[in-house]
Amino acid sequence: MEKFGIYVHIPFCVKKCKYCDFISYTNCQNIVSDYINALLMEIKENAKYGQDKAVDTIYIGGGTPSYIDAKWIATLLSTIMENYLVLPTCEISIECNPNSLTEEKIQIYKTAGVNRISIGLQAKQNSILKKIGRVHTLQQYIDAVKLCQKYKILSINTDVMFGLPTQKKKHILSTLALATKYSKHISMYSLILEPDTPLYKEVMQGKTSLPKEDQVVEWYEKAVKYLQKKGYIQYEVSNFALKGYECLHNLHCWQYQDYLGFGVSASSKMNGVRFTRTKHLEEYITLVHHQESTIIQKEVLTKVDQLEEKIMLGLRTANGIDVQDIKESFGYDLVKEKNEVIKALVQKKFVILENGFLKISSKGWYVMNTIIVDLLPN
Amino acid sequence: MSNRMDHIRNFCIVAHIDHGKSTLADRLIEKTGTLQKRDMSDQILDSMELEKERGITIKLTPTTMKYTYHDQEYTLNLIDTPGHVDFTYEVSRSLAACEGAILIVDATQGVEAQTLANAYLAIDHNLEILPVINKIDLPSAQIEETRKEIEDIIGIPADHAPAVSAKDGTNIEQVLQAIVENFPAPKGEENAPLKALIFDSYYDNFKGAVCLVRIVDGSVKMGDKIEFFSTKHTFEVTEVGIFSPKPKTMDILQAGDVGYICASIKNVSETKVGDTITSADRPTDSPLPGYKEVKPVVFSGVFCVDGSDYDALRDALEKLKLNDASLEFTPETSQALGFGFRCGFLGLLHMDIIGERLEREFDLDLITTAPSVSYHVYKTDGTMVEVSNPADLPEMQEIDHMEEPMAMVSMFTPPEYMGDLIQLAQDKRGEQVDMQYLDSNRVQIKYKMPLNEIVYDFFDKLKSYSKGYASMDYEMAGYQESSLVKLDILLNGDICDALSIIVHKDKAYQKGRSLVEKLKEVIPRQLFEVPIQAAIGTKIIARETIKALRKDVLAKCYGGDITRKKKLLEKQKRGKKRMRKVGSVEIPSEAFMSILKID
Repeated sequence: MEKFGIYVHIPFCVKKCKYCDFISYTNCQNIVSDYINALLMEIKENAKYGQDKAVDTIYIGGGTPSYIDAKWIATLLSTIMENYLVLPTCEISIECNPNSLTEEKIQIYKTAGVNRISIGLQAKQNSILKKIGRVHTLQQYIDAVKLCQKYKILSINTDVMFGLPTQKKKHILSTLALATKYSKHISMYSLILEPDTPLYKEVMQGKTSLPKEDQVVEWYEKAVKYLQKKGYIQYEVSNFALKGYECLHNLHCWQYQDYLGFGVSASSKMNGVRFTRTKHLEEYITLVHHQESTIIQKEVLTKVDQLEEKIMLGLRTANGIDVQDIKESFGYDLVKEKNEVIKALVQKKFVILENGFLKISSKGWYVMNTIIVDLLPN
Repeated sequence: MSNRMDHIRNFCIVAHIDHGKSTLADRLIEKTGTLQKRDMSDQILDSMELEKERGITIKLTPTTMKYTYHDQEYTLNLIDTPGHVDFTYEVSRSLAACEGAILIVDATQGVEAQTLANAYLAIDHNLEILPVINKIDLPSAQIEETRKEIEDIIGIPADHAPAVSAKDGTNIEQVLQAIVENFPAPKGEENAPLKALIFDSYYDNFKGAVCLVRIVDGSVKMGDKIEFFSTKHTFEVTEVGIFSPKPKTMDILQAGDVGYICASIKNVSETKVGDTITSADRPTDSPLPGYKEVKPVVFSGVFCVDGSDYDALRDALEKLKLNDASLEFTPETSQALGFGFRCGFLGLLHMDIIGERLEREFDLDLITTAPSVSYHVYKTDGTMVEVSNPADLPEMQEIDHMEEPMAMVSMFTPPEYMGDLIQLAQDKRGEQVDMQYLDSNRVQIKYKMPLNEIVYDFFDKLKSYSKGYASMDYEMAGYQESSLVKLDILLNGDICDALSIIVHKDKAYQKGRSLVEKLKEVIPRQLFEVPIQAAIGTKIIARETIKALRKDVLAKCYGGDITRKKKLLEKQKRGKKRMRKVGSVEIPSEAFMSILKID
């Protein structure tokens, strides 16, 4: 049976982080129940998409899902399970912020079926956390992971960022030492300054300065070595896990499996169509109540789109892309069409071509965008 | 019949840029009823969109107007002239078609570089000058001071000069009266063999090349056989007429008249400005004086960002050439830029205009290489070659010596900027020829300097050093021997031909250094380290290194992010298409213009 993932977006936060440009609303407690009710309706309405298919991953992301009352999460999950065929082995993840994850919430999550928790630590140093507008402290992180352990949720991810204001190499390494102590999965990504964020403004005005790119890369190299030594496998460009603890939801997305997203700004890819829902909270709620579609953008993926996306996403993973599979699905012989480019990249050790898979080398990870652009069909 | 010619006045309007030439022309057309107000769009004679936008005139459009004065009807032929130094020769031929010139001086600006240059040009052509003081509607107008300046600086009487506002139409009648009273009527033999001066031509899709002429002697009508003196080619006249200001067919054009001749001529390059048209059956024995071949002085390689647009570029250049005989182009191949054209222009403005028209009217995305001038290269074997493309320079050991084109530059400036401008001129290898205070507020400084120093950024620098107050003008001043070298740029060890320039030996180090520094800024980091070197022959004189790209990713990418990520990559992919490859190095098209942005 064909499998797909479900994504649910919870667009609420106690406070927005300075670097964040994802959709989320603050000071909206009063609207949460309306939103959840709309979500529940949407989940039910879309059950037809799940016919003859099975759900193998559910991901509740945000925003801060742990910000809202845990009973909502339980209701969401039970509604999904009532309306879709959810496999018993299904990975069910939820994103949490250390300051809002209480013992009561974890209990409810656990009972509702959550088996993976992703915690945003970002950095161990409270002074750095303050600079980027995070609301939690180091101690809250430690308390949170200990609670997860207490309730036997073993699959824990810790989000770590590098390239933060005033961050030094030692800060990253000590953050990783902490994260590896408590979590079997680590997402490590670099700060991307997005326009229209407070941090962007501060940097542009010279109020905040970021570490130099060359430095950041050097730290990153050290960090990757450190994680490898600790047994973490870099299965995707910014994701590291002990064997068996990979995040299947994201992995499937990179492997180009279908996924169905619910909630404000959520996007989906189902049956060759990618669609995105409205970004506006109130509009979303109204649309659902009027039984109108919340989809504001719909893109039918052509063969070329699918080929490009498959190359782009596949190259993010450690396994790389299956050259034969691409050839069979799209009639495109990547190795032949891009012969010279690949030869040059292999020679410079940016990519590896072996056993019918084309993958980016550890040296190539850092400059993946450039490599992908080189490898995209003309 | 002499009565007919007594009632004709042929004149032009000359002025410094922005002093209101086109606006005055509009008012004259309106006042004489040639066009009704409702038919007028502003600055009717500037027909090209670009001219209107820039407020300058490039192409000349003559206009015939009827004006009644003391119960006599007069025919006034206004010949508009291009207002830029690049077109000095065309201006001179227009002046040769006139007996009088209106010299406009802006009452708020006073006499400027081109006012003077144009006034002298008109005086050289023995034209009667009628000064007109314009923009008196502005609060800062200084009418009496301007009169005095005209008398002191140019040396022509200005006490009776009409003071007008071309903008609101004040005192335009005075100008018309002065035209009739001050300007002499044309002289010519109506029965002599035809002599017509071509002062411009343009291409019409139906009529072919249209010659704009002043009939000096004789007459011409439909069916006549005419001959072009310089080429000896003959044609049968299909139409003659005047402009009022739209073309209007006439039975005959006679001595003293200004109008047009069509003769099914396929190409404007047949109709050379300054050439004499005569009768094929009864030719004149002597042409009109002053004809010369116009030669480009500034050259540049023009390439398409998208190589597949090459044919479109050729078509576009051919179309522009139909109307612009002074534009030259020959195919050129560059290793870095692929197939394109080496184009010759009359000057920097001309180059600018052509580039802009190609992009705007033909929707082409272009890369233009650094402008070059034409050098005389004397080889050791005793021959001389003209080189306008650095890539064509013979090997150093084959060169005995080289000469470069010189220009006489006149700068006008308030005295407080004089020091900076002298410094600028000296930096540009200029030699002072003359300096004089025209009055307490204005100095004229004359420098002889190499044209290749002017073609980059001289004008911009002059404006920025003087906060916009100084103006300049230049004319070509022959060739002079000079120690010149070819400066090459190597990227990852490979010469990039499109970045080579010819410079003076003493400036090579400085240019080489600034150029590699600039390139380091504009060339993005690549997957490997890229050395950038400047070299003279095999000697490396400057070096910079673009470090290898370290990081361009490592961001989160979740499901919802894919569209965004894809857009980012697509943007990067489009950017890549605009890159040119030299060896293994990818260069953005902007890099080829970096030479224009260095000191």
